[in-house]
Amino acid sequence: MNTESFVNELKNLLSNETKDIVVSETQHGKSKAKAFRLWATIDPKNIHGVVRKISLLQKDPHFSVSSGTDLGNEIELLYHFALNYAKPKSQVLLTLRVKLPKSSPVIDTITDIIPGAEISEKEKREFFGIEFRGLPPGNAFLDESLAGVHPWRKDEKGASKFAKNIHNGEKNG
Amino acid sequence: MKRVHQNLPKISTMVKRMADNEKKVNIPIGPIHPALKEPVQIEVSVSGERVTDVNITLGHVHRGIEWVGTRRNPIQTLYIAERVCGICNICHPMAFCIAIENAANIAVPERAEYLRTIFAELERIHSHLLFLGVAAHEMGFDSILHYTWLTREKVLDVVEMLTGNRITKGIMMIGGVRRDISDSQAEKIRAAMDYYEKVYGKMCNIFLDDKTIKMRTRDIGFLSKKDALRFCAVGPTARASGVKKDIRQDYPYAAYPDIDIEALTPEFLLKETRGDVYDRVVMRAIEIKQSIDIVRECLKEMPSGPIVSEPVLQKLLFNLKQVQGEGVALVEAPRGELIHYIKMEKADAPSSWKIRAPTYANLHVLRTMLIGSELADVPVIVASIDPCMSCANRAIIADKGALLYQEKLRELCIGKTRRLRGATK
Repeated sequence: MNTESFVNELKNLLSNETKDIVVSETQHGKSKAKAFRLWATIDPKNIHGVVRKISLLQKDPHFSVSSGTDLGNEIELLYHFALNYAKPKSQVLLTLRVKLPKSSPVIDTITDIIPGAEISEKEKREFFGIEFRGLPPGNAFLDESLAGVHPWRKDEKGASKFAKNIHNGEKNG
Repeated sequence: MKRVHQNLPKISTMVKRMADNEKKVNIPIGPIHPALKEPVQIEVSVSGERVTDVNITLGHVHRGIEWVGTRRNPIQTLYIAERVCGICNICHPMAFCIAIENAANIAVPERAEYLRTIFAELERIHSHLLFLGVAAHEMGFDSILHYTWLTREKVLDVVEMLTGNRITKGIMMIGGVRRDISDSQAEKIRAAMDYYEKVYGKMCNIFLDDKTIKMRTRDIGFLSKKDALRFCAVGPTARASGVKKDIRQDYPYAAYPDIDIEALTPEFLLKETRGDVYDRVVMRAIEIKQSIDIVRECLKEMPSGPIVSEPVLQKLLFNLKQVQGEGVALVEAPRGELIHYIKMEKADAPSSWKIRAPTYANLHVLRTMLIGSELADVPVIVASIDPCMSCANRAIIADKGALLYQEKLRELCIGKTRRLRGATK
Protein backbone atom coordinates (compact mmCIF):
# COMPACT_ATOMS: atom_id res chain seq x y z
CA MET A 1 0.00 0.00 0.00
CA ASN A 2 1.48 3.38 -0.92
CA THR A 3 1.85 6.07 1.72
CA GLU A 4 -1.04 8.31 0.58
CA SER A 5 -3.46 5.35 0.49
CA PHE A 6 -2.31 4.26 3.93
CA VAL A 7 -2.84 7.77 5.31
CA ASN A 8 -6.37 7.79 3.87
CA GLU A 9 -7.18 4.38 5.34
CA LEU A 10 -5.88 5.53 8.69
CA LYS A 11 -7.97 8.69 8.52
CA ASN A 12 -11.08 6.65 7.71
CA LEU A 13 -10.38 4.36 10.61
CA LEU A 14 -9.89 7.23 13.04
CA SER A 15 -12.81 9.29 11.71
CA ASN A 16 -15.20 6.88 13.48
CA GLU A 17 -13.55 7.83 16.75
CA THR A 18 -12.90 11.55 16.43
CA LYS A 19 -13.25 14.58 14.19
CA ASP A 20 -10.04 16.09 15.53
CA ILE A 21 -7.56 14.69 13.00
CA VAL A 22 -4.69 16.78 11.66
CA VAL A 23 -2.42 15.59 8.88
CA SER A 24 0.87 17.39 8.35
CA GLU A 25 3.79 16.86 6.03
CA THR A 26 7.48 17.56 6.30
CA GLN A 27 10.06 17.59 3.53
CA HIS A 28 13.78 16.96 3.64
CA GLY A 29 16.75 16.83 1.27
CA LYS A 30 17.02 18.06 -2.30
CA SER A 31 14.30 15.67 -3.42
CA LYS A 32 11.82 17.15 -0.90
CA ALA A 33 10.32 13.73 -0.26
CA LYS A 34 7.17 14.01 1.82
CA ALA A 35 6.91 12.49 5.28
CA PHE A 36 3.42 12.25 6.79
CA ARG A 37 2.31 12.64 10.37
CA LEU A 38 -1.19 12.33 11.78
CA TRP A 39 -2.40 13.76 15.06
CA ALA A 40 -5.74 12.55 16.43
CA THR A 41 -7.40 13.38 19.73
CA ILE A 42 -9.52 10.55 21.08
CA ASP A 43 -11.59 9.74 24.14
CA PRO A 44 -9.33 8.02 26.72
CA LYS A 45 -12.03 5.37 27.20
CA ASN A 46 -11.49 4.26 23.60
CA ILE A 47 -7.69 3.96 23.60
CA HIS A 48 -7.67 0.18 23.79
CA GLY A 49 -10.26 -0.21 21.04
CA VAL A 50 -8.50 2.28 18.74
CA VAL A 51 -5.11 0.60 19.18
CA ARG A 52 -6.82 -2.74 18.50
CA LYS A 53 -8.23 -1.37 15.23
CA ILE A 54 -4.83 0.06 14.27
CA SER A 55 -3.27 -3.34 14.85
CA LEU A 56 -5.70 -4.77 12.29
CA LEU A 57 -4.64 -2.20 9.71
CA GLN A 58 -0.94 -2.61 10.54
CA LYS A 59 0.11 -5.96 11.94
CA ASP A 60 2.52 -5.38 14.85
CA PRO A 61 2.21 -1.59 14.99
CA HIS A 62 5.48 -0.03 16.10
CA PHE A 63 4.92 1.83 19.34
CA SER A 64 7.73 4.38 19.68
CA VAL A 65 6.90 5.90 23.05
CA SER A 66 4.27 7.87 24.92
CA SER A 67 4.96 11.42 26.02
CA GLY A 68 2.97 13.71 28.24
CA THR A 69 2.39 17.22 29.53
CA ASP A 70 0.86 18.52 32.73
CA LEU A 71 -1.79 20.98 31.49
CA GLY A 72 -2.94 22.11 34.93
CA ASN A 73 -6.24 20.34 35.51
CA GLU A 74 -5.48 17.61 33.00
CA ILE A 75 -2.60 15.43 31.94
CA GLU A 76 -2.16 15.17 28.20
CA LEU A 77 -0.85 11.79 27.13
CA LEU A 78 0.45 11.21 23.59
CA TYR A 79 0.98 7.79 22.03
CA HIS A 80 3.48 7.91 19.16
CA PHE A 81 3.20 5.06 16.63
CA ALA A 82 5.23 4.32 13.50
CA LEU A 83 3.06 2.57 10.91
CA ASN A 84 3.56 1.24 7.38
CA TYR A 85 7.23 0.78 8.24
CA ALA A 86 10.07 -1.33 6.79
CA LYS A 87 9.56 0.04 3.27
CA PRO A 88 11.36 2.96 1.62
CA LYS A 89 9.84 6.37 2.37
CA SER A 90 6.55 4.82 3.41
CA GLN A 91 6.31 5.24 7.16
CA VAL A 92 3.52 7.28 8.73
CA LEU A 93 3.87 8.75 12.18
CA LEU A 94 0.62 8.61 14.15
CA THR A 95 0.17 10.43 17.44
CA LEU A 96 -2.94 9.65 19.49
CA ARG A 97 -3.73 12.34 22.03
CA VAL A 98 -5.81 11.69 25.16
CA LYS A 99 -6.51 14.05 28.04
CA LEU A 100 -6.94 12.62 31.52
CA PRO A 101 -8.43 14.56 34.45
CA LYS A 102 -5.76 15.09 37.07
CA SER A 103 -8.25 14.19 39.80
CA SER A 104 -8.52 10.67 38.40
CA PRO A 105 -5.91 9.92 35.71
CA VAL A 106 -6.89 6.38 34.76
CA ILE A 107 -6.59 4.67 31.38
CA ASP A 108 -6.46 1.11 30.01
CA THR A 109 -3.08 -0.42 29.30
CA ILE A 110 -2.25 -1.30 25.70
CA THR A 111 0.46 -3.79 26.68
CA ASP A 112 -1.82 -6.75 25.93
CA ILE A 113 -1.82 -5.60 22.28
CA ILE A 114 1.72 -4.16 22.17
CA PRO A 115 3.97 -5.73 24.85
CA GLY A 116 6.68 -3.24 23.89
CA ALA A 117 4.68 -0.46 25.59
CA GLU A 118 5.34 -1.74 29.10
CA ILE A 119 8.36 0.38 30.06
CA SER A 120 6.77 3.51 28.61
CA GLU A 121 3.51 3.00 30.54
CA LYS A 122 5.42 2.33 33.74
CA GLU A 123 7.38 5.51 33.16
CA LYS A 124 4.16 7.54 32.82
CA ARG A 125 2.75 5.87 35.93
CA GLU A 126 5.78 6.92 37.93
CA PHE A 127 6.43 10.35 36.39
CA PHE A 128 2.81 11.54 36.05
CA GLY A 129 0.92 9.33 38.49
CA ILE A 130 -1.32 7.89 35.76
CA GLU A 131 -2.97 4.58 36.58
CA PHE A 132 -2.90 2.06 33.74
CA ARG A 133 -5.58 -0.57 34.22
CA GLY A 134 -4.07 -4.01 33.61
CA LEU A 135 -0.40 -2.95 33.79
CA PRO A 136 1.70 -5.22 36.05
CA PRO A 137 2.83 -3.59 39.31
CA GLY A 138 6.41 -2.56 40.03
CA ASN A 139 8.50 0.49 39.24
CA ALA A 140 10.79 0.66 36.23
CA PHE A 141 12.56 3.94 37.06
CA LEU A 142 11.97 5.58 40.42
CA ASP A 143 12.89 4.20 43.81
CA GLU A 144 9.93 3.02 45.90
CA SER A 145 10.87 5.62 48.53
CA LEU A 146 9.72 8.31 46.09
CA ALA A 147 6.10 7.09 46.15
CA GLY A 148 3.80 10.10 45.80
CA VAL A 149 6.38 12.15 43.85
CA HIS A 150 5.65 12.48 40.14
CA PRO A 151 8.57 14.49 38.70
CA TRP A 152 6.94 15.61 35.44
CA ARG A 153 3.93 17.13 37.16
CA LYS A 154 3.97 20.88 37.52
CA ASP A 155 2.06 20.90 40.81
CA GLU A 156 3.01 20.10 44.40
CA LYS A 157 3.69 16.47 43.45
CA GLY A 158 6.38 17.52 40.97
CA ALA A 159 10.16 17.57 41.34
CA SER A 160 10.67 21.30 41.92
CA LYS A 161 11.13 20.86 45.65
CA PHE A 162 14.15 18.66 44.97
CA ALA A 163 15.77 21.26 42.71
CA LYS A 164 16.47 24.12 45.10
CA ASN A 165 20.22 23.92 44.72
CA ILE A 166 20.45 23.55 40.95
CA HIS A 167 22.41 26.49 39.60
CA ASN A 168 19.97 28.95 38.02
CA GLY A 169 17.43 26.14 38.02
CA GLU A 170 14.43 28.39 38.36
CA LYS A 171 15.80 31.39 36.49
CA ASN A 172 14.00 30.69 33.25
CA GLY A 173 11.25 28.47 34.60
CA MET B 1 33.84 -2.80 49.69
CA LYS B 2 37.36 -4.17 49.38
CA ARG B 3 36.96 -6.28 52.53
CA VAL B 4 33.81 -7.95 51.17
CA HIS B 5 35.59 -8.66 47.93
CA GLN B 6 38.40 -10.47 49.74
CA ASN B 7 35.88 -12.66 51.55
CA LEU B 8 34.28 -13.93 48.36
CA PRO B 9 34.15 -17.68 47.84
CA LYS B 10 35.94 -19.00 44.79
CA ILE B 11 33.97 -18.57 41.58
CA SER B 12 34.01 -22.32 40.88
CA THR B 13 32.57 -22.95 44.35
CA MET B 14 29.78 -20.46 43.78
CA VAL B 15 28.84 -21.86 40.37
CA LYS B 16 28.90 -25.40 41.72
CA ARG B 17 26.73 -24.36 44.61
CA MET B 18 24.24 -22.83 42.21
CA ALA B 19 24.34 -25.90 39.96
CA ASP B 20 23.78 -28.19 42.93
CA ASN B 21 20.88 -26.11 44.13
CA GLU B 22 17.68 -27.40 42.59
CA LYS B 23 15.80 -24.31 43.67
CA LYS B 24 15.95 -21.18 41.57
CA VAL B 25 18.36 -18.49 42.71
CA ASN B 26 17.69 -14.82 42.06
CA ILE B 27 20.82 -12.93 41.04
CA PRO B 28 20.64 -9.15 40.81
CA ILE B 29 23.19 -8.02 38.24
CA GLY B 30 23.81 -4.35 38.66
CA PRO B 31 22.56 -1.66 39.16
CA ILE B 32 25.87 -1.36 37.44
CA HIS B 33 25.90 -3.07 34.07
CA PRO B 34 27.75 -6.39 33.97
CA ALA B 35 29.19 -5.97 30.52
CA LEU B 36 29.59 -2.30 29.84
CA LYS B 37 29.79 -0.95 33.36
CA GLU B 38 26.58 1.00 32.77
CA PRO B 39 23.89 1.39 35.41
CA VAL B 40 20.91 -0.91 34.93
CA GLN B 41 19.69 -3.63 37.21
CA ILE B 42 19.05 -6.98 35.60
CA GLU B 43 17.75 -9.47 38.09
CA VAL B 44 18.15 -12.94 36.66
CA SER B 45 16.69 -16.11 38.13
CA VAL B 46 18.89 -19.12 37.49
CA SER B 47 18.37 -22.79 37.88
CA GLY B 48 21.85 -24.27 37.96
CA GLU B 49 23.63 -22.16 35.34
CA ARG B 50 20.55 -21.64 33.18
CA VAL B 51 18.70 -18.30 33.22
CA THR B 52 14.98 -18.90 33.81
CA ASP B 53 13.63 -15.37 34.29
CA VAL B 54 14.77 -11.77 33.99
CA ASN B 55 13.53 -8.53 35.54
CA ILE B 56 15.00 -5.19 34.45
CA THR B 57 15.01 -1.99 36.51
CA LEU B 58 16.17 1.33 35.09
CA GLY B 59 16.58 4.85 36.39
CA HIS B 60 19.74 4.57 38.46
CA VAL B 61 21.27 7.52 36.67
CA HIS B 62 18.09 9.34 35.70
CA ARG B 63 19.35 12.91 35.54
CA GLY B 64 16.02 14.61 34.92
CA ILE B 65 17.32 15.99 31.62
CA GLU B 66 13.83 16.57 30.21
CA TRP B 67 12.83 18.39 33.40
CA VAL B 68 15.91 20.62 33.15
CA GLY B 69 15.17 21.23 29.45
CA THR B 70 11.75 22.66 30.24
CA ARG B 71 13.45 25.33 32.36
CA ARG B 72 15.90 26.60 29.74
CA ASN B 73 15.49 28.30 26.39
CA PRO B 74 15.78 26.01 23.32
CA ILE B 75 19.37 27.03 22.49
CA GLN B 76 20.53 26.30 26.04
CA THR B 77 18.61 23.02 25.95
CA LEU B 78 20.28 22.06 22.68
CA TYR B 79 23.57 21.71 24.55
CA ILE B 80 21.86 19.68 27.28
CA ALA B 81 20.46 17.39 24.56
CA GLU B 82 24.02 16.87 23.37
CA ARG B 83 24.94 15.62 26.83
CA VAL B 84 22.25 12.94 26.99
CA CYS B 85 24.83 10.47 25.69
CA GLY B 86 28.61 10.47 25.35
CA ILE B 87 28.43 8.53 22.09
CA CYS B 88 25.24 9.67 20.35
CA ASN B 89 25.88 13.39 20.69
CA ILE B 90 25.09 14.14 17.08
CA CYS B 91 21.79 12.29 16.86
CA HIS B 92 20.33 13.66 20.13
CA PRO B 93 20.86 17.35 19.30
CA MET B 94 19.84 16.63 15.69
CA ALA B 95 16.55 15.04 16.83
CA PHE B 96 15.99 17.94 19.22
CA CYS B 97 16.60 20.46 16.42
CA ILE B 98 14.30 18.62 13.98
CA ALA B 99 11.52 18.52 16.61
CA ILE B 100 11.88 22.28 17.21
CA GLU B 101 12.04 22.93 13.45
CA ASN B 102 8.80 20.93 13.03
CA ALA B 103 7.08 22.90 15.78
CA ALA B 104 8.32 26.26 14.49
CA ASN B 105 8.07 25.47 10.73
CA ILE B 106 11.74 26.26 10.16
CA ALA B 107 13.10 25.16 6.79
CA VAL B 108 16.66 23.83 6.99
CA PRO B 109 19.02 24.73 4.10
CA GLU B 110 19.86 21.78 1.85
CA ARG B 111 23.60 22.01 2.48
CA ALA B 112 22.98 21.83 6.24
CA GLU B 113 20.93 18.65 5.73
CA TYR B 114 23.91 17.04 3.93
CA LEU B 115 26.32 18.22 6.63
CA ARG B 116 24.06 16.75 9.32
CA THR B 117 24.01 13.44 7.46
CA ILE B 118 27.81 13.33 7.22
CA PHE B 119 28.20 14.02 10.95
CA ALA B 120 25.58 11.39 11.79
CA GLU B 121 27.32 8.72 9.72
CA LEU B 122 30.74 9.54 11.18
CA GLU B 123 29.13 9.06 14.58
CA ARG B 124 27.72 5.69 13.48
CA ILE B 125 31.17 4.52 12.33
CA HIS B 126 32.75 5.42 15.67
CA SER B 127 29.88 3.95 17.68
CA HIS B 128 29.91 0.63 15.80
CA LEU B 129 33.70 0.33 16.08
CA LEU B 130 33.37 0.97 19.79
CA PHE B 131 30.71 -1.76 20.00
CA LEU B 132 32.84 -4.31 18.09
CA GLY B 133 35.67 -3.68 20.55
CA VAL B 134 33.40 -4.09 23.56
CA ALA B 135 31.88 -7.29 22.16
CA ALA B 136 35.39 -8.72 21.62
CA HIS B 137 36.41 -7.63 25.13
CA GLU B 138 33.46 -9.46 26.66
CA MET B 139 34.54 -12.62 24.86
CA GLY B 140 38.11 -12.22 26.13
CA PHE B 141 39.64 -11.04 22.81
CA ASP B 142 41.36 -7.91 23.97
CA SER B 143 43.65 -7.79 20.94
CA ILE B 144 40.53 -7.11 18.82
CA LEU B 145 39.35 -4.55 21.35
CA HIS B 146 42.63 -2.67 20.99
CA TYR B 147 42.59 -2.96 17.19
CA THR B 148 39.01 -1.65 16.80
CA TRP B 149 39.51 1.17 19.27
CA LEU B 150 42.78 2.10 17.58
CA THR B 151 40.98 2.38 14.23
CA ARG B 152 38.22 4.39 15.92
CA GLU B 153 40.77 7.10 16.70
CA LYS B 154 40.84 8.06 13.02
CA VAL B 155 37.15 8.99 12.91
CA LEU B 156 37.44 10.89 16.18
CA ASP B 157 40.35 12.83 14.68
CA VAL B 158 38.20 13.65 11.65
CA VAL B 159 35.35 14.78 13.91
CA GLU B 160 37.79 16.95 15.87
CA MET B 161 39.05 18.49 12.63
CA LEU B 162 35.47 19.29 11.53
CA THR B 163 33.93 20.43 14.80
CA GLY B 164 36.79 21.29 17.12
CA ASN B 165 35.80 18.54 19.56
CA ARG B 166 36.11 14.77 19.68
CA ILE B 167 33.08 13.96 21.83
CA THR B 168 30.58 16.75 22.51
CA LYS B 169 30.81 18.37 19.13
CA GLY B 170 28.66 21.48 19.51
CA ILE B 171 27.92 21.40 15.78
CA MET B 172 24.11 21.32 15.62
CA MET B 173 21.98 24.44 15.63
CA ILE B 174 18.26 24.92 15.31
CA GLY B 175 17.77 25.52 11.59
CA GLY B 176 21.06 24.00 10.44
CA VAL B 177 24.62 23.47 11.64
CA ARG B 178 27.29 25.76 13.09
CA ARG B 179 30.26 24.98 10.84
CA ASP B 180 30.72 24.17 7.17
CA ILE B 181 33.08 21.60 5.63
CA SER B 182 35.77 23.10 3.40
CA ASP B 183 37.17 21.40 0.27
CA SER B 184 40.41 20.49 2.04
CA GLN B 185 38.45 18.99 4.96
CA ALA B 186 36.32 17.05 2.48
CA GLU B 187 39.51 15.53 1.03
CA LYS B 188 40.56 14.41 4.51
CA ILE B 189 37.14 12.81 5.07
CA ARG B 190 37.48 10.95 1.76
CA ALA B 191 40.93 9.70 2.81
CA ALA B 192 39.46 8.53 6.14
CA MET B 193 36.71 6.65 4.29
CA ASP B 194 39.35 4.89 2.14
CA TYR B 195 41.08 3.90 5.39
CA TYR B 196 37.80 2.55 6.82
CA GLU B 197 37.14 0.58 3.65
CA LYS B 198 40.33 -1.36 4.46
CA VAL B 199 39.37 -1.63 8.13
CA TYR B 200 35.99 -3.03 7.08
CA GLY B 201 37.72 -5.72 5.03
CA LYS B 202 39.83 -6.68 8.04
CA MET B 203 36.78 -6.64 10.35
CA CYS B 204 35.01 -9.03 7.99
CA ASN B 205 38.02 -11.36 8.09
CA ILE B 206 38.10 -11.26 11.89
CA PHE B 207 34.40 -11.56 12.63
CA LEU B 208 33.38 -13.85 9.78
CA ASP B 209 36.30 -16.27 9.77
CA ASP B 210 37.41 -16.60 13.38
CA LYS B 211 36.16 -19.95 14.63
CA THR B 212 36.13 -19.03 18.33
CA ILE B 213 34.14 -15.82 17.83
CA LYS B 214 31.59 -17.82 15.91
CA MET B 215 31.40 -20.53 18.57
CA ARG B 216 31.15 -17.97 21.34
CA THR B 217 28.33 -15.96 19.75
CA ARG B 218 26.47 -18.32 17.40
CA ASP B 219 23.12 -19.66 18.59
CA ILE B 220 23.04 -17.75 21.87
CA GLY B 221 20.81 -14.83 22.85
CA PHE B 222 18.18 -15.54 20.22
CA LEU B 223 15.64 -12.91 19.22
CA SER B 224 13.06 -14.13 16.72
CA LYS B 225 11.62 -11.79 14.09
CA LYS B 226 8.21 -12.23 15.69
CA ASP B 227 9.44 -11.11 19.12
CA ALA B 228 11.43 -8.24 17.62
CA LEU B 229 8.19 -6.97 16.07
CA ARG B 230 5.99 -7.61 19.13
CA PHE B 231 8.36 -5.86 21.51
CA CYS B 232 9.05 -2.98 19.08
CA ALA B 233 12.82 -3.60 18.89
CA VAL B 234 14.77 -1.02 16.93
CA GLY B 235 18.01 -0.51 15.06
CA PRO B 236 20.67 -3.15 14.42
CA THR B 237 19.08 -5.32 17.14
CA ALA B 238 15.84 -5.55 15.13
CA ARG B 239 17.59 -5.78 11.76
CA ALA B 240 19.77 -8.66 13.00
CA SER B 241 16.50 -10.56 13.50
CA GLY B 242 15.36 -9.84 9.95
CA VAL B 243 13.14 -6.80 10.67
CA LYS B 244 13.96 -4.24 8.00
CA LYS B 245 13.18 -1.17 10.10
CA ASP B 246 15.50 1.78 9.56
CA ILE B 247 14.33 5.37 9.97
CA ARG B 248 16.82 6.45 7.29
CA GLN B 249 14.95 4.23 4.84
CA ASP B 250 11.36 4.32 6.20
CA TYR B 251 10.99 7.93 7.28
CA PRO B 252 14.01 9.75 5.87
CA TYR B 253 15.19 13.04 7.32
CA ALA B 254 18.22 15.30 6.63
CA ALA B 255 19.75 14.23 3.27
CA TYR B 256 18.60 10.60 3.50
CA PRO B 257 15.65 11.03 1.08
CA ASP B 258 18.23 11.72 -1.67
CA ILE B 259 20.20 8.55 -0.96
CA ASP B 260 18.86 5.11 -1.69
CA ILE B 261 19.21 3.64 1.78
CA GLU B 262 18.26 0.02 2.23
CA ALA B 263 17.75 -1.48 5.67
CA LEU B 264 20.30 -4.28 5.69
CA THR B 265 20.09 -7.59 7.53
CA PRO B 266 22.86 -10.16 8.20
CA GLU B 267 21.98 -11.82 4.88
CA PHE B 268 24.00 -9.06 3.23
CA LEU B 269 27.14 -10.96 4.30
CA LEU B 270 25.86 -14.28 5.57
CA LYS B 271 23.56 -16.80 3.93
CA GLU B 272 20.88 -16.55 6.58
CA THR B 273 19.50 -14.45 9.42
CA ARG B 274 19.23 -16.26 12.75
CA GLY B 275 18.81 -13.38 15.21
CA ASP B 276 21.56 -14.49 17.60
CA VAL B 277 24.48 -12.59 19.12
CA TYR B 278 26.68 -13.38 16.11
CA ASP B 279 24.17 -11.75 13.76
CA ARG B 280 24.02 -8.65 15.94
CA VAL B 281 27.83 -8.37 15.90
CA VAL B 282 28.04 -8.86 12.13
CA MET B 283 25.21 -6.31 11.67
CA ARG B 284 27.42 -3.54 13.06
CA ALA B 285 30.28 -4.45 10.74
CA ILE B 286 27.89 -4.34 7.77
CA GLU B 287 26.62 -0.93 8.78
CA ILE B 288 30.13 0.52 8.92
CA LYS B 289 30.40 -0.20 5.19
CA GLN B 290 26.97 1.36 4.61
CA SER B 291 28.02 4.51 6.49
CA ILE B 292 31.22 4.80 4.43
CA ASP B 293 29.13 4.75 1.23
CA ILE B 294 26.68 7.35 2.59
CA VAL B 295 29.47 9.75 3.60
CA ARG B 296 31.05 9.44 0.16
CA GLU B 297 27.76 10.08 -1.59
CA CYS B 298 26.97 13.10 0.58
CA LEU B 299 30.38 14.63 -0.17
CA LYS B 300 29.79 14.05 -3.88
CA GLU B 301 26.24 15.42 -4.00
CA MET B 302 26.44 18.18 -1.40
CA PRO B 303 24.83 21.38 -2.71
CA SER B 304 26.27 24.80 -2.03
CA GLY B 305 24.47 27.44 -0.01
CA PRO B 306 23.88 28.58 3.55
CA ILE B 307 24.34 26.22 6.48
CA VAL B 308 21.80 27.68 8.88
CA SER B 309 18.41 29.32 8.36
CA GLU B 310 18.90 32.08 10.96
CA PRO B 311 22.52 32.86 11.91
CA VAL B 312 21.64 35.59 14.45
CA LEU B 313 20.93 33.74 17.67
CA GLN B 314 19.07 36.58 19.39
CA LYS B 315 16.69 36.76 16.43
CA LEU B 316 16.28 32.98 16.43
CA LEU B 317 15.50 33.00 20.15
CA PHE B 318 13.01 35.84 19.70
CA ASN B 319 11.27 33.88 16.91
CA LEU B 320 11.20 30.69 18.99
CA LYS B 321 9.50 32.55 21.84
CA GLN B 322 6.52 33.21 19.55
CA VAL B 323 6.05 29.55 18.63
CA GLN B 324 2.90 27.69 19.56
CA GLY B 325 3.09 24.12 18.36
CA GLU B 326 4.41 20.59 18.68
CA GLY B 327 7.11 18.69 16.91
CA VAL B 328 8.21 15.08 16.74
CA ALA B 329 11.52 13.94 15.29
CA LEU B 330 12.58 10.43 14.42
CA VAL B 331 16.28 9.82 13.85
CA GLU B 332 18.18 6.57 13.25
CA ALA B 333 20.83 6.67 15.97
CA PRO B 334 23.64 4.07 15.89
CA ARG B 335 21.52 1.87 18.20
CA GLY B 336 18.22 2.46 16.40
CA GLU B 337 15.17 4.70 16.39
CA LEU B 338 15.52 7.80 18.53
CA ILE B 339 12.50 10.01 19.12
CA HIS B 340 12.23 13.53 20.53
CA TYR B 341 8.90 15.24 21.19
CA ILE B 342 8.69 18.99 21.89
CA LYS B 343 5.78 21.21 22.83
CA MET B 344 6.21 25.00 22.60
CA GLU B 345 3.69 27.44 24.05
CA LYS B 346 4.91 30.96 23.34
CA ALA B 347 7.35 30.92 26.23
CA ASP B 348 11.09 31.01 26.89
CA ALA B 349 11.28 27.29 27.50
CA PRO B 350 9.47 24.34 25.87
CA SER B 351 6.50 23.25 28.01
CA SER B 352 7.21 19.59 27.35
CA TRP B 353 10.16 17.55 26.07
CA LYS B 354 10.33 13.79 25.79
CA ILE B 355 13.31 11.74 24.69
CA ARG B 356 13.09 8.03 23.87
CA ALA B 357 16.54 6.59 23.20
CA PRO B 358 16.85 3.27 21.35
CA THR B 359 18.10 1.27 24.34
CA TYR B 360 14.83 2.09 26.13
CA ALA B 361 13.00 0.20 23.37
CA ASN B 362 15.50 -2.64 23.14
CA LEU B 363 15.49 -3.48 26.85
CA HIS B 364 12.16 -5.27 26.33
CA VAL B 365 13.79 -7.85 24.09
CA LEU B 366 16.73 -8.40 26.42
CA ARG B 367 14.48 -10.57 28.59
CA THR B 368 13.60 -12.78 25.61
CA MET B 369 17.27 -13.09 24.70
CA LEU B 370 18.44 -13.98 28.19
CA ILE B 371 15.85 -16.57 29.21
CA GLY B 372 17.29 -20.03 28.54
CA SER B 373 20.87 -18.81 28.22
CA GLU B 374 23.82 -19.74 30.41
CA LEU B 375 24.91 -17.33 33.16
CA ALA B 376 28.35 -17.12 31.49
CA ASP B 377 26.67 -15.81 28.32
CA VAL B 378 24.84 -12.94 30.07
CA PRO B 379 27.60 -10.31 29.54
CA VAL B 380 27.99 -10.98 25.84
CA ILE B 381 24.20 -11.14 25.26
CA VAL B 382 23.62 -7.87 27.11
CA ALA B 383 26.52 -6.27 25.22
CA SER B 384 25.03 -7.46 21.91
CA ILE B 385 22.17 -4.92 22.05
CA ASP B 386 24.86 -2.27 22.62
CA PRO B 387 23.04 -0.75 25.60
CA CYS B 388 23.75 2.89 26.21
CA MET B 389 23.35 4.33 29.68
CA SER B 390 25.62 6.49 31.77
CA CYS B 391 28.83 4.86 32.81
CA ALA B 392 29.92 3.72 36.25
CA ASN B 393 32.53 1.20 37.31
CA ARG B 394 31.26 -1.82 39.16
CA ALA B 395 28.75 -4.64 39.09
CA ILE B 396 27.63 -6.92 41.85
CA ILE B 397 25.91 -10.26 41.79
CA ALA B 398 24.52 -11.37 45.10
CA ASP B 399 24.06 -15.05 45.79
CA LYS B 400 22.46 -15.50 49.17
CA GLY B 401 24.63 -12.88 50.79
CA ALA B 402 27.80 -13.55 48.79
CA LEU B 403 28.87 -10.95 46.27
CA LEU B 404 30.06 -11.62 42.74
CA TYR B 405 31.67 -8.57 41.15
CA GLN B 406 31.69 -7.64 37.51
CA GLU B 407 35.24 -8.91 37.14
CA LYS B 408 34.12 -12.33 38.39
CA LEU B 409 31.19 -12.44 35.99
CA ARG B 410 33.51 -11.55 33.15
CA GLU B 411 35.85 -14.30 34.33
CA LEU B 412 32.98 -16.76 33.85
CA CYS B 413 32.43 -15.41 30.35
CA ILE B 414 36.11 -15.58 29.36
CA GLY B 415 36.37 -19.02 30.96
CA LYS B 416 33.70 -20.30 28.59
CA THR B 417 35.55 -18.80 25.61
CA ARG B 418 38.74 -20.58 26.67
CA ARG B 419 36.92 -23.86 27.20
CA LEU B 420 35.44 -23.66 23.71
CA ARG B 421 38.77 -22.68 22.21
CA GLY B 422 40.47 -25.59 24.01
CA ALA B 423 37.86 -28.02 22.78
CA THR B 424 38.63 -27.20 19.15
CA LYS B 425 42.40 -27.74 19.48
